[in-house]
Amino acid sequence: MPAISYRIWQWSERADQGIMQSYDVQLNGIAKSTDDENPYAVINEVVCGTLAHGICLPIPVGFVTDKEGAKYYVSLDFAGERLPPIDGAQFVQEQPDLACGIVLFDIWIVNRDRHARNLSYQVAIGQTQIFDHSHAFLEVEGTNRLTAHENDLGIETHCLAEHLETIRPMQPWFERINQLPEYWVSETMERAVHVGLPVEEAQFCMEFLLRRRSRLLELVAAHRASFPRVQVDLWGEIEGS
Amino acid sequence: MAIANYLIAQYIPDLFRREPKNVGVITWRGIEVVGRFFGETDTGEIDGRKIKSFRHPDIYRQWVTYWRSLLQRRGVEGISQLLDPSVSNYRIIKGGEVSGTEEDAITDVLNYLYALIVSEGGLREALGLSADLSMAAGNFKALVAEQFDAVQILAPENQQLPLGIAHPIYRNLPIPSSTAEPHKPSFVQQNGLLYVMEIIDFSIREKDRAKDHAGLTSYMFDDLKKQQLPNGVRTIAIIRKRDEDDEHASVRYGMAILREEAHEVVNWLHLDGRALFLQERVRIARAVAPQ
Repeated sequence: MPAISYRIWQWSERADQGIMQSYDVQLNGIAKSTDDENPYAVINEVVCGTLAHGICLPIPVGFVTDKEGAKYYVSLDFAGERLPPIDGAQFVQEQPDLACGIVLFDIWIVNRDRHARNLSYQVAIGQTQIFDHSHAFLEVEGTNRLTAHENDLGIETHCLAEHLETIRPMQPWFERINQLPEYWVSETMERAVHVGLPVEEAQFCMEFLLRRRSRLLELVAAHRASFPRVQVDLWGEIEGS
Repeated sequence: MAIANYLIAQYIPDLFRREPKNVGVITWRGIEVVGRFFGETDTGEIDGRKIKSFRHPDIYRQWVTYWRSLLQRRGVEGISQLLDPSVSNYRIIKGGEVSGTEEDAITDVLNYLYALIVSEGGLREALGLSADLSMAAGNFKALVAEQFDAVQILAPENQQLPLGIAHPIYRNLPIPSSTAEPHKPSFVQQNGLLYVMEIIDFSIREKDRAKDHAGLTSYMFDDLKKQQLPNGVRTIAIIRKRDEDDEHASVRYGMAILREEAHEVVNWLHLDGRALFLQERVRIARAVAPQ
């Protein structure tokens, strides 16, 4: 998967040059904070962003910063111009492997908010970005939400799931998610605690994620109706179906 | 009264400066909705040569594809979805409405609005959009003006005093239109009947611009006829068109719509027709009684 280029605002030479030429670079980013309507926004972004990076999904680099006492999650703005809302059917046709990866990831993090505007796809060069996870995972209800979705997909009307014609690529993505070291998941929760997630909730979340990732294909197989275009004979090709 | 509404597609190269550039028009009336975007050819494809100045031409294409796809799938119901308030390099904004379009095909209204809005507004600016067009159109108009001057029927610029002939030809004279802005045809002559003459050059390289001009001229002619001026109006299109120009669909289309609205079409390259036209202008200019 190609590396992401980010939008540079300013570029200047550094006064204190070492052996190698170096530069001061200012980048653009898009910042979001929590509010009363979404108290977990920054936590959700940190968790989902870290997990997505762990399995090499195309997500912009993000970081947390403080401004006037409030925490913000900043997602680096990728280079190029803003793209139109994605055509889910076209994306699935042209990027079937990645489409399956995104769908499986969204099931893992219980993302009900994957719509055409928080996934970008530059058709000419095939570059994809996923972003905006503030309403995924804990969303606004917290751990109660995870409990409520223990045995379902939790993705509701997903902009890609309805167009998938094969779920065969889900198998390698399933393996990739389950090969992610457990320390990666625990470190993710440490970061979430650092931005405000209560410790006891962090423990609950970690257990949830580890348990859920082993059941992803089982959940997919149990909810075939969410993948109406997948041919019946393909269901036997994934574990758990 | 039939009202057509329209939206404007804009490109904002720099999201910090936020200076928009109009790149398209979408118009609808009833359930009919049509759109036209910068760089599109007669077949609806985007000519890559025309969009080379865009920072990311492929992203522009993707936006046009998205807008067209939405309109094709949802028609007029897709209009509200186009008006996305989120910050982007491309956006659709509300434009306004055009009244009195009942006798015009929706595509004619679209082409008129496109020439005004995307061609940087106004007939004169549309003519001056490219060096080629402004030079060609300016030369042709100057050529015709020279002929009027040669037969001593052309009024000096910005002067409406009689020359010693009763009804000279004036340049760029504002004529009331049905909108707030007046028409400013290339030439006007009045002897009772108002003779409105507009220059259209089909011999230029950019045939689509000539077509746009023909569309705008047709709209002006139609508007003038609808106003039912007290002594009537006669609309005349003075064109420059070679035989080989007819090979272009844009030229054929431009001629077709001109013939619908112009009482008379004079091809400057046809010497006999030019001669008859000039003789008539002189006769009108010198006639004492209203014609």
